[in-house]
Amino acid sequence: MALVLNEEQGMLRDSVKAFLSERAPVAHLRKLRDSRDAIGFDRPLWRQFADQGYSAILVPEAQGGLGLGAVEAGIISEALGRTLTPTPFLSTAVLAARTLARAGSQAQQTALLPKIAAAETVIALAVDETSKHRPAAIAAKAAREGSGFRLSGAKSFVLDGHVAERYIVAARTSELGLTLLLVDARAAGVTIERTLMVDAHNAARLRFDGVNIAADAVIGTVDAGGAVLDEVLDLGRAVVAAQLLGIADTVFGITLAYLKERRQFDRAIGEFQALQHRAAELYIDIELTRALVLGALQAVDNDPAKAALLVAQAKAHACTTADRAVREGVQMHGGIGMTDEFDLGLYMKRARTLQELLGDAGFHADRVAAMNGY
Amino acid sequence: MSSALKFYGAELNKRRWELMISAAGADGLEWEGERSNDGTVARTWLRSKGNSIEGGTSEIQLNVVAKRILGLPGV
Repeated sequence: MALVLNEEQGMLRDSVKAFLSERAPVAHLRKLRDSRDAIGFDRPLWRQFADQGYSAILVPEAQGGLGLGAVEAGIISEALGRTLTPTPFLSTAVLAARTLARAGSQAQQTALLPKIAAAETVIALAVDETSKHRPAAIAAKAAREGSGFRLSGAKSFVLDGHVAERYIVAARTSELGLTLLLVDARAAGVTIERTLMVDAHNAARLRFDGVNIAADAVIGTVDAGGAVLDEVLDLGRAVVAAQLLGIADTVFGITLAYLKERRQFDRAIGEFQALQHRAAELYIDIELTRALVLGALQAVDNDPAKAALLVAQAKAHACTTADRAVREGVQMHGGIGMTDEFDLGLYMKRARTLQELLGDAGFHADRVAAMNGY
Repeated sequence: MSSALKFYGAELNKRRWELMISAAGADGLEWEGERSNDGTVARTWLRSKGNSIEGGTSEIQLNVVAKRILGLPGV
């Protein structure tokens, strides 16, 4: 498959870029951060995502969505990386939408997918339990009780967990079996603690103390949630990689302009070969990452057998490339790059969070090695 | 030798805090609150980025090493 966007995808990229740079540039994030906004994103803006169709991308047409795929979701995510706009797009319109569309019952799909498409609800996927992403080590437990379950355990780094109406919780229901459970945020035994993060985006820690779960709150099949989770996580990782690419590309653009403009020792600092070579290497890194990210998104849509490997490669590279872009960006700007008034630091903070989210470069390099038999 | 020491010290401290924040994972990304001691790891990690800028950038230190210690030619 050609590593280029088709015409409709190109139009979507242009429209979302224009929409976000007009409605929610970096100043939008600053305002939410500086006013210590209790929600952490702008609800009217989120509703406009529905008007534009962005929240409906992964919702099937039968439930009022657009029935599009990972490539389109990646296009939105990359644009969000350029403007650093906090929205529930990843938690709700990507992770929750795909989980429900892939494994939800008819009743769950009918009740929730149209609301996701219309940006009328926030649903958060709760996977991580420790400081590093390790879905294989999930310890939260759902024990059989009557026809349903009792859920106990703790989750952390739950995106939008402080305002979600529902959680999709991955819990252990047998030694090897995971089950995905739909949990009401107001249910007895649920404790929510918002965590204020370095990137001023939204997350929470959750505790479940013997929460009663009805039988009809199981998403998919008991003990068979692991396969669904793997698929949803890989979609999420590819979409996060696209956002890291958006950050890397934006920071590179800002830095390249600065190299041409800033003068020291009677010349533009971009005239120094030491900096030229570093800029050239970074450019090559970004182009490689762009190809890997699009290839991974396309594989999620069209080539499930290869998706896991391509996603792991793309996420690993996107992490290291964005990391390099923000580090070089700050260093090449010098003192001004360290100030809060200048946007570069905000990109560095967001990139660091996205590196950690759904597995860092080491986690994914390890997966690539394991998938290749090492 | 002070240029070599400044360069190495600055880059070492940056690497050290990259390792710290990576090891701390999502916990290390918290910015406020008691658990993270108001984001000590994240704030120190960010502060370390200034080490290779303040007091002569790493690029300037390397220029000095190349020209004064190694005697390489050029402007």
